[in-house]
Amino acid sequence: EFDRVLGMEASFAGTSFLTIDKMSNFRYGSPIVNINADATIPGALGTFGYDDEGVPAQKFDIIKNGIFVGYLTSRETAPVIGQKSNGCMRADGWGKLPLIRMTNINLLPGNSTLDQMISEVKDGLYLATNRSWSIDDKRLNFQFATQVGWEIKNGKLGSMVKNPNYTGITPDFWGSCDAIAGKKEWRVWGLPNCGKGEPMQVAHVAHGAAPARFNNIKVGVGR
Amino acid sequence: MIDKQLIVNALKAAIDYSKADQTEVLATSGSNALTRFSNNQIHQNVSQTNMSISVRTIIDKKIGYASTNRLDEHSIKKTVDKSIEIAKFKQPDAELVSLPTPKPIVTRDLISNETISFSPMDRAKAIQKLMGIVEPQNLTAAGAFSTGYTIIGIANSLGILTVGAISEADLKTVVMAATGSAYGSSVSIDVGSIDIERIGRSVKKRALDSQNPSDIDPGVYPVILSPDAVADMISFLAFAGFGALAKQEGRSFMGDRIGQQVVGSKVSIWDNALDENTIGLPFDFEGVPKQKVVFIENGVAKAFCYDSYTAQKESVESTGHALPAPNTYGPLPLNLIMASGNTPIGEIIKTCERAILVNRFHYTNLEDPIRTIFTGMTRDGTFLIENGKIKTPVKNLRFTQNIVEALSQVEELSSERELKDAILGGAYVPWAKIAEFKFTGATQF
Repeated sequence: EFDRVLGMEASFAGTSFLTIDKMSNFRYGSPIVNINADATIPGALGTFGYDDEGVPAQKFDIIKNGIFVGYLTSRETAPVIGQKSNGCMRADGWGKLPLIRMTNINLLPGNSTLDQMISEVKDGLYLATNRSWSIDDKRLNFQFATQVGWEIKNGKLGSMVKNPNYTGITPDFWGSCDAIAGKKEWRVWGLPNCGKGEPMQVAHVAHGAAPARFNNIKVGVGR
Repeated sequence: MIDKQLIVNALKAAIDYSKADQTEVLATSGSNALTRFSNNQIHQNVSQTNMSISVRTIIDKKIGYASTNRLDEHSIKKTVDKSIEIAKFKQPDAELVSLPTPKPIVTRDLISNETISFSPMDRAKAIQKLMGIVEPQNLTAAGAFSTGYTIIGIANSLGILTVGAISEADLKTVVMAATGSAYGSSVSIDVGSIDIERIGRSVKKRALDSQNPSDIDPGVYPVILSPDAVADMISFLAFAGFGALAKQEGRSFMGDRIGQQVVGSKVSIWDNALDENTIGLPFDFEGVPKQKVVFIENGVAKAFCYDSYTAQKESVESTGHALPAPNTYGPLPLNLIMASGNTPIGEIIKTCERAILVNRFHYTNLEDPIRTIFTGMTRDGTFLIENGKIKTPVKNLRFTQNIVEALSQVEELSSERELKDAILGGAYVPWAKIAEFKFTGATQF
C-alpha cells in the first residue's frame, strides 16, 4: 500500500520496508512467486466496479517472478512515482475518508498439487487455517498461528499437532517458496474485517491462494 | 450542545412501541473529530456526527436484533418491527432468563466543555506546537489528535432508563529519527490536560536516543515494561480470562482457581469504571450499574465479571460488565486498574544489572488464549540497560510470552501509573520489572 510507504500510516501500523528504490529490482520471493491485485474477480470480497476516487477496478502485478514490481496506489499517491492510480482507494462508509486498501491480493497458482508437495517432504508440517497474526511496523518480522497442523514424515501426513505457529522475515519466507499448487486447488478466501486508518476503517478484502510449500521455516515458537 | 433528551425520547419511543415479551434499546449519538498528521504535515482532517439505535427484542426466548442510525419516529418503529421479525425466525435460547431490572446508578460527570468545543484549528495549533519541538532536530512526526463526545442511553421494558455522556481527547504521536523512533500518547476527558509541550519534549529526547540501534540476540531477558506495554499485556489477559463466559466455557486460566495464587504477589488487577483515574460511564450496555470487580489480589484469583446472561446461569448478580448486544464475547472489563508499587521508575532502572527496556508493543495478538500466550514486537524505542543505566538502543525484538508466567515474575512495580488505551477500553497501570521475558525473534531495525 503506497500510502504506508509514504509514511501516511506511520503512527498506526507503521511504514514499509519496500521503499521506492526497491521497485523493479528487489527480490521479494523465489522465481515461482507471483502476486497480483485483482479487483475484478467475480464474487470476491475485494471486488468492485470503481474505487472511491472513481478509478475503474483493475488487475495488476505486485510481485512478478519473485521481483517486486508494483504498489497499490491512488490518485493522491500514484503521481509520486509517475504513475496513474490503479484504483485502490476505498472508504468503509459515507462518513470516512478513502484510504488505499487491499482489493483481492492473490498468490497466483503454480503447477504442483498438495498431495505432490506433501509426498516430497521428509520432515515437515502441514498447517491450515490461520488463527492469529502479528507483523512488525515495517512488515518484515511476522508470526502466525494456525488452528490445526499435522506432521509430515517421509512424504506422509502423520499426527495432528497442537497450537502450531510459524515465523519469518518476509522476503526470506517468500524466497523459500519452492512449490505452489495449481488452478484446481486455487480459490479466493474472503476477509471481512481488514483494519486500517485513524479513525479505524474496516474493509472487505480477499486473497486468492492455493496450498504452497516453504522451506526451513521456524515453527513451534515459544512452545 | 449535549442533547440527552433526543436519546431519552428515542429510547422511550422504542420501548413504548414494542410488543415483544421483553425489549432492550441502546441509543447513541456523538460527534468526533480527528486530525491526522505524517511527515510533519496534517494530511487528514475528519469529523463525524452520527447517532444510532439498536433494539433487542425477546419473544418466547427467541432474540432478535436490529439497528438504524435514523432516530425519527418512523425509523424507530421500523427497527423495532425488524427486530421482532428476526426474533420470530430464531431458535429459542433455553438458557435465557430475563433482561435485568433497574438498580440505582450513581452519576458521574465526564464532560469537558473545552473538549467539546475544541475546533479543527485548535487541534492544528496543538500539532503545530508539537512540530515546533521536533522539526528543528530533523525529526519527523506522525500521529492523530481526536476530540469529541458520545452520549449513550439504555432502556428496557422492565423499567431501566439511563443516559450518560463522555467527552474524550486523545493524542498519539510517533516521532521518527533516521534510524530510530519514539511514541507518546495522552488520553483524557479534558483536552486542557493534554500537555503538548511535555509530550513533545519527551518523544524528541527518546527519538534522538533511539538512533543507531545495535543488534541483540533473542533470548530470555529481564525487562522493564512501560505502562503502554503493561496495559497491552493485562488487557489481553482480561480478554482471555476475566469474563464469566470464558469461565463457563472452560477457557479461563483462572477457571477453577479462585482463591489460589495464579501470579506473583505484587500483582493486583481490578476493574472500576468509577475510579477517578479511569474514563468510564457508571452503567454497562444493559443499563446495570458497574461494580468494582477485583480479578486478582496480591496474586490470588478472586472473581470474574458478569453480565445478566452469565450471572443468571450461576444465580448471581450482574457486575455491570455487559457489552453492546449482540455480543459473542461475553462480559468484559473496560476500565482496568493495576496496583502500583512504591519505587519510582528511575530507581527501579538502577536496580537492573542487565535488562531490556520496552517502550511499546506492536501488533500483539493472543496465540493461545487458554495458556495466555501472546506474541508481538517491540517498537518505538527498545533499550539495553546495563549496570543500572540505559546503555544503548537495540533493534526491535519479537516476543512469544505466557502472560501468567510473566506476571508470576514481577519483581517490582513503579509508584507512577498512567492511563493508556488498551484493546479493552483503557487501563491505568504502572511500569513493571519482570525477571524473565521470552524474546523469540528479531527484526532488521
